[in-house]
Amino acid sequence: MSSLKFSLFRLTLCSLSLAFVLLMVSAPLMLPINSIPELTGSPGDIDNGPVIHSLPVPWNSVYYFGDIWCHQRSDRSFTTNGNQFPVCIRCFGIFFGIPIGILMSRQLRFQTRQDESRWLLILFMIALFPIMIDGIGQAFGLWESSNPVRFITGSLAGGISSAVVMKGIDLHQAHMAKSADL
Amino acid sequence: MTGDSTGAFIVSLIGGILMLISGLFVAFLGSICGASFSACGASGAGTTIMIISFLGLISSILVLIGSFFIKKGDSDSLRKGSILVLIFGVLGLVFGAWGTLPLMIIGSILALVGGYMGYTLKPTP
Repeated sequence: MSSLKFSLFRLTLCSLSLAFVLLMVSAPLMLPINSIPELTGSPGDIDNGPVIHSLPVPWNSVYYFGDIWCHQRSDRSFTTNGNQFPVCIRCFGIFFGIPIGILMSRQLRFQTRQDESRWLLILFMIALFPIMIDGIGQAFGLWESSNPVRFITGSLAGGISSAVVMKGIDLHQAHMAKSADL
Repeated sequence: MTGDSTGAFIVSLIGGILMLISGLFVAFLGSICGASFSACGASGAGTTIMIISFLGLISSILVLIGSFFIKKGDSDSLRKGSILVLIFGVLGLVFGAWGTLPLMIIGSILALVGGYMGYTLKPTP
């Protein structure tokens, strides 16, 4: 019963994150051609309020989210239908990786229970390492990253870290089910 | 009495690490901003900005400490660690929402989930 509940929980989380990714892809496609101007701004601020406010529901919500979440630099964002995506390529990669990571977390298995936390931490570090190296190197002007690299490092970070979190919740559920049986 | 606290530990630790990344960034920016205010003669405002910007960093460190308490797994450490993670997860969430810091908000939510998991964990003999 508890494993069925948890499968439903995993499926719900996966569907929600997938729906969010689809919304982000659909937003520039569903809006009229060239209706989104350059959105470049800074994260944590609403830089393009008047433009976004004029968009129809639900696309305005998606672009509001992107405006707060991301810098939305136009040279670092996908463009389709003449419209820029609501978030940059790296952030899109993170969101794209999340539903895949949630699904893949079922396949994460370790040989011994003692090593689980260590392996999960190593996996989490592996997830963050490429995005941090790429981001820090770029911030200090050591190199200029490319859009495919941004997408790959973002997907790795989003996918692996969501898989690690789901595996953590999985282990907790398994323990709770075992202690309920005792 | 010990419980298998791996799940709660991992989730709260990841939350703490995400909060720490955001907290370090905000503290760095806050110190520059605060120092500039102080240099312009508004030392009171400069100090306030510096203190506020360090709140996220302090919360994240306390969440990390709490997660290591959870890892110990005995009922006393589990309770103490979970309460620490929950309290500073809420503080981080308020701080993140106030400053619109997405990474801090996500880290705090994960810390709250991890803290709840640790709190509800039933230690097994």
